[in-house]
Amino acid sequence: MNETRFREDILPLKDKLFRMALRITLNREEAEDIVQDTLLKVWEKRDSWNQIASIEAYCTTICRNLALDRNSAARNSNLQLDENMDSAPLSTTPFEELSQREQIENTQRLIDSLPELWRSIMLLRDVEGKRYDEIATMLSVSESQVKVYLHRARTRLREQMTKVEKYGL
Amino acid sequence: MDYKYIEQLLERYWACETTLQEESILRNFFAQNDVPASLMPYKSIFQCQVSTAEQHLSDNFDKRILSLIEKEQKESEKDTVKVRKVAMSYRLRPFLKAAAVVAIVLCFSMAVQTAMEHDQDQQTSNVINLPPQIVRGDIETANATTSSIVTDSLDRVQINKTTTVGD
Repeated sequence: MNETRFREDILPLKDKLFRMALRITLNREEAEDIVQDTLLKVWEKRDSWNQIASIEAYCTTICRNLALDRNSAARNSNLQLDENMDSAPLSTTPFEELSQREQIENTQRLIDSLPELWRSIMLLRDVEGKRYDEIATMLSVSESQVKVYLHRARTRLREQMTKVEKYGL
Repeated sequence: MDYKYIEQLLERYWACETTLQEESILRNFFAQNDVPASLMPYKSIFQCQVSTAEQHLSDNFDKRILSLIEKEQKESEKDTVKVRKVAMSYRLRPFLKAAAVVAIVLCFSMAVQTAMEHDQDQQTSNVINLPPQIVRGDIETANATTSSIVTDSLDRVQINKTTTVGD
């Protein structure tokens, strides 16, 4: 019974949790360990699953807390995520493709340099497609705070992208 | 081509006023190759979102986590205390055993005490040459025996007196 629910409702969340952990730790192996720990923790709490309003929000909160615990700013500040940029071809010619790849990597670096809460909000909204109220529940902040931080993050990103385009910074 | 709608959407996107559906439209738009130069700086933001969404765990993750869960379940089942009905006679068995031991010890000690008292009576009566009834404290028998001894002694005294006077 519990195992079936775990397979059907909780295990499919693994990639979302992985992206959340990866966005915080910026380390693939560590993010994978965090997802494993998160799922084991949730499994251990199987007797109280019925009392949880949203199992996805619950899992995300645990995953984020574990990632924040593990995350050492000193250790990870120099790491950047670039191992997943080898997806589908981005442009028609190899030169354009290379150029676009570079741009995406630069943008990713800009996103990674944002405060952790801003990054997490951006991820949940822009990648996972969550509503503001869902994000607020997952991150234990108010809905208005979610909007404020997301606005700041997007504005910062827009400014940076404009600067890069204008001055090549 | 008119990009006014996209530009409006983009303005609303920066202000966090777009719906999830409108944000999806923007992602689809920037996924194309022919994006106007004015919007080009923002293309990589939306491409970044798409490439992030493609990140996933390694293929053997499911197998690994399911085996860990199975292991944990087995361990927790081992630790579980099973409820078992215990009969009243079984519960009282230790008390009954203790009571039996106490009873045996009491019987044995009483038997030893009786035997020892009997031996002591015998020894006392032998030393003072009294009938064992006196030593034991049998009052009626003792009274009768004592009075017969006294009577016997007095008779002897009387006989001796008579003999002395006769002489």
